[in-house]
Amino acid sequence: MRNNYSLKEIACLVALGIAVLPPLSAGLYIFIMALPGLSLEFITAMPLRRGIEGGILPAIVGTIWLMFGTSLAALPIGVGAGIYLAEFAPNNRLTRLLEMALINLAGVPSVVFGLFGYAVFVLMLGFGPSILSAALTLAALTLPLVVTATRQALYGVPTSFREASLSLGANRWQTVSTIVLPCARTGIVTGTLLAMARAAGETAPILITGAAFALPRLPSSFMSRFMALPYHLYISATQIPAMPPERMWATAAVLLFLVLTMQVGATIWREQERRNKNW
Amino acid sequence: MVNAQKQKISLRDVSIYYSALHVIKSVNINFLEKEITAIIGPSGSGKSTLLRSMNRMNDHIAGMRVQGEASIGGANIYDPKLDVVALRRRVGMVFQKPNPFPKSIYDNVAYGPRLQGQKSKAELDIIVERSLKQAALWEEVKDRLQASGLALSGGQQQRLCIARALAVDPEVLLMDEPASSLDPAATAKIEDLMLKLKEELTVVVVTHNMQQAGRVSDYTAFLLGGELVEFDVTRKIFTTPTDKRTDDYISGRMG
Repeated sequence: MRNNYSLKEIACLVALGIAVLPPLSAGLYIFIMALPGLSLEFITAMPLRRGIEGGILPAIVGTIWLMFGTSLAALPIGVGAGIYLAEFAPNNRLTRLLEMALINLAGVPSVVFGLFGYAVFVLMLGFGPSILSAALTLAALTLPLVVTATRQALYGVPTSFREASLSLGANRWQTVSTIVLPCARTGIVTGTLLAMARAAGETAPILITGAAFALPRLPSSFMSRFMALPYHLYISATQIPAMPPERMWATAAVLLFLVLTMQVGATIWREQERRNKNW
Repeated sequence: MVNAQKQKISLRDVSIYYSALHVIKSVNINFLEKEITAIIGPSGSGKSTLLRSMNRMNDHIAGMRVQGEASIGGANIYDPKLDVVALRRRVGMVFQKPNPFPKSIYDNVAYGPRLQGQKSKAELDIIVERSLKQAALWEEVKDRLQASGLALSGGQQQRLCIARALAVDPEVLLMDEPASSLDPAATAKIEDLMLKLKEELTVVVVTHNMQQAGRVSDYTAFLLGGELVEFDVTRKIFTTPTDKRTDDYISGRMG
């Protein structure tokens, strides 16, 4: 056993500690602070008196509606675009330009997507402030992630499968749909789940596309206005001085729980499938 | 050479380029029906490229160009109007590394027929059994057709791939070093199988293994640097080659 670390190794270890400790302790802190505010009523009741009393059920349900709508829009478009780029696009400058644009799109500030969604979905297409407008805005935000996840999953499928399929008289589309896509399924779904987890926490894109601070009812359709956890938290913290702090912590804890569940679930599933995979 | 026999695939002055790279240089070969032709030569001599030109598996490589005339049963393989999918049904292929799909044994073999629109379960059952028998695998897997093709041993996987290729009833089977990743026992099985298969179809096999070429093939083509150095009856190539380079390669002084 060697117990004399060099100075550089110690420095790196300290850096790792500094990187890992704040988010870990922040998460822990949020859950501890949230304990007094968490109750069955808090997650199952409608808000009362502008959210100062009652529960946040509409915000939980609203966020779930949003995730559902976002994946409904982002999955087919993102997977389709990913399939085109990975399997059919000619290897030329235009394709590389498209790929580069896509990567950079992922870096555009989310508030810009919010403005885009407001201009296009709320006003131009006339969807108004609604789950539909917000979900489409979030879909635009997460599309680059879904496309990238799809491309990577497709690249991971061995060329030898494609060749075998082509050699048996399949055309390229048959090869992709019957062999390549099923093999890449796990990667695509987990990548999408991670993108949805990211979208669940976004505030700026839904700020002006349909989120409401406190609604006494659940959304009834995609055209409804809605409550969402991150937006509710943001308004609670900035606009409602009378809001009891433990209720804010509790809202944060519910949001964190939702996002972590999706992320951890996706990761565990991916690892499991990876272990079962024998190619 | 026996001239009475029908030629299945004929290459006339075939040259293949990858962009500026001249990979195959004016090759002339007649592959005779229901015979096994071995293509031998050192690594990089263009064996696989030549093999893959016959079912157009090189098509997707950017910058690939073919000159000269390649034909199957008189039809030009590189005719722009030719249906590549139909060509690949006539000219099947087995790859160097066994590559069964991550599907059941049954679904692997049924893959080709299903692509052609065969939906009848009864018909597929017949095709699957016939193909697995042809590939000498039936006895080993008949009780577990729903097991994954990837659960088989390497040699069994390769025979499954042969069964999969046979299921679409090809006239020609191209084999790209089909036994190079297998142990001697599994290799022997593949070689026995090839001898059985040539009763029904034309086989072209690329191999690094000189003994294998000697054991199974009727004709041998020796490629070097993209040129066809010598093409003749296998016995002649291995005993009294005309070209000194062939002699050097066969006797292990080269490659």
